[in-house]
Amino acid sequence: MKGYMGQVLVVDLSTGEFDFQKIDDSVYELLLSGVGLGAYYLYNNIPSGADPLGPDNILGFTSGLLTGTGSFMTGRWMAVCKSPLTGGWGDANCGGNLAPAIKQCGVDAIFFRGTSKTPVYLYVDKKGPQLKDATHLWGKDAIETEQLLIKENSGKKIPAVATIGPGGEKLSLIAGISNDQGRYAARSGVGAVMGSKRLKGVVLAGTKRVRGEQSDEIKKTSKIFANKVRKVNLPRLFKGGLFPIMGKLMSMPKKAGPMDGMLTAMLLKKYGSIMNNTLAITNGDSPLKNWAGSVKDYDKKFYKGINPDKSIKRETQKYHCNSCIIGCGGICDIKDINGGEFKHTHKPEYETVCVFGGLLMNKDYDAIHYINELLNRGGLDTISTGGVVAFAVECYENGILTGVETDGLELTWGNTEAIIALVKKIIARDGIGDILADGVRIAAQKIGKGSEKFAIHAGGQELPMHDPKIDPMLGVVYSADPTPGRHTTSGGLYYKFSSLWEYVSWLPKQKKAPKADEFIPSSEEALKNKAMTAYKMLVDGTGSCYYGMLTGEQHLRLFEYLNQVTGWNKTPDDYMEIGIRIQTMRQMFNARQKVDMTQFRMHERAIGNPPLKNGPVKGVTLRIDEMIPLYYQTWGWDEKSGRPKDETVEKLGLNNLLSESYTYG
Amino acid sequence: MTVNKQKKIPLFAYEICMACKDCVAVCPLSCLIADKTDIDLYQKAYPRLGSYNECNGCSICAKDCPVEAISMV
Repeated sequence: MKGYMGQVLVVDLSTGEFDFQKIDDSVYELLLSGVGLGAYYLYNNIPSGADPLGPDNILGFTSGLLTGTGSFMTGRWMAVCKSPLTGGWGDANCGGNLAPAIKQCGVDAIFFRGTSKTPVYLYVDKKGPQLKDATHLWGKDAIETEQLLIKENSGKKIPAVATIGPGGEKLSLIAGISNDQGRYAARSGVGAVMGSKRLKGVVLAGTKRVRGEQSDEIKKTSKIFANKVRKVNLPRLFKGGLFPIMGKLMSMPKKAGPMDGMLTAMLLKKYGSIMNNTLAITNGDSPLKNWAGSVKDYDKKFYKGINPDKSIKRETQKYHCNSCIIGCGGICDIKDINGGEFKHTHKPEYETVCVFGGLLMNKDYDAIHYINELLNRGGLDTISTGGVVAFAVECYENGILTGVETDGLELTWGNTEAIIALVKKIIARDGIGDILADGVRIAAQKIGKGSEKFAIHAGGQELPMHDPKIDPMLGVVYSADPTPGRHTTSGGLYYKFSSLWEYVSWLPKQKKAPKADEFIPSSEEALKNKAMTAYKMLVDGTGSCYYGMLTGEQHLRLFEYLNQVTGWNKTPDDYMEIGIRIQTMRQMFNARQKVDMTQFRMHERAIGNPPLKNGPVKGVTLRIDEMIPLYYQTWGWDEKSGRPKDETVEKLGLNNLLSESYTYG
Repeated sequence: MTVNKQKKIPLFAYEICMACKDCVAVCPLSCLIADKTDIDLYQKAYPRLGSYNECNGCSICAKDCPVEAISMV
């Protein structure tokens, strides 16, 4: 067995029919599984111009090719669909325990088409799939729904469950899909698509085994990785108060060279992503005050406020996704917050802390834990929700919104009480919350009065909490990736950790690279970005983890794992071509859907126009309009429109993967 | 005469285990639980046998453990 199951389950929610469709081996060889299989299926089955919230859209739950094979850091699944938020390719990645459960049902992916007339959920066990009534669950939050579904379906195998909350039901375009009680496939509005299909949950209790070709070799590779991770530990005396100093030191050198990714594993083992909370403020990574502030706006109280040690003290245990050996997550006790409304929450991630911290000038970490649980239950993306709250605050501060529109909420910077009240309104689509529930782009269109200047997004998607002015490669993927406004696709920092130049023949040897204020757009920089993106497509095609990727190929050994699991004998160059193919197919999806990709260019404020007056990126304006065409060119896409050229599609062999009715060109 | 075959159950070598939970995922009877937190300084949740009665000794967990931290005893 080559790690994949060789078939997908297609569920037609309009008719209630199930179809197990065989997938040819050549598809896996050309596109792997996960996001690659998703791109293949969606390109060939969603008609051009389909309404993202209509029956023609398809929502896929895809597992990775390496998932469940004994490889480490490969337990992630990916939701794929046409995004209602951007209008183009949509995907969202998530950990937890759902990914292996998909394969244990005997399939690599489950695709939902059509729309159910009444709320339903999918249940799959060894007897096969069934659609069950979910009327009694409609209106319940995502976590309670998961608990009820496990109770309702408690056979011999405890199922893995994915659900939506009220946000998805109410078609909020910033809704995500939850599993493992608050892990989220959050971005691209995938939860709204699930809600539009009246699909409340997916409950998987299959017991099929997943195997790779060379089990002993896979174990050898895993043991090497495990031994390295086991050995890296922070000194016991290390405290979270040191992070701002680390960030300051990081911002000082003008050039940065390659780094060993095990450093990230060391920090993640103790802190998880919140290692960045304050480090990212002093090094300029973390945007403040809706992207208009700088480190000068931040006094010492803020650093104390979101010191990651405060969250670690709340942890009752670490949380690991399937096949993870780092364990960046945590379960936090929050019984002391807000009268014990919730007992615990998943440790809020850096993105959540930053968006509800610095972006809103809020220093109340307890409130961030509470908001995290509100959103996990309500079913909304924390990045987008925080982004739209920051937009509303800036509108209020500038008189565009008044107490009349906000139902009396005083939306001033750092007003924690008002922020919490507004989050509740957004989840419920109540009053001003209804206007904000579809993200900043639509909110600005509805509010008008020049509010678009405070709506920070790329192609409709709120930007994540990493300022591209310190990492120009990030700015390019924010503005030119098929899913704009995403920080997990590629970036200069990831490249420095990747060690890819040691494996890939067409990459220049990595040397010290200039920081943003001395960054000159070039074909070489574009090529590095292409390489990192292609590698990330392999990560997403195999079900690997972004944090596994950050340890670098020399530790993760994705190329080795792939050969051992599949029995193929491909070179790193061969695999990188697969990554290039997946990325191009995602872009072809946008071209076929007639998406104007020029409107993905990120907001002027994120570009540095006008530039910030203080902080590590003061005076920096990204030369984004030179960088985007170079990026498109290096992929073989039209340098103006971003459309993959016919000869590129042909060269990558993608024409052979297209159905007769959905040809390209 | 009936031979009393004693059932074999998984024994975890926690000094080797990485708490990846692969064993929990592959157990067809969901008799393993990852909630043992007194093993390392991070309070990672390690697996244990939660239900002796449910375990049928199939040894899939031991066979699939990536670091061979499970033996059937």
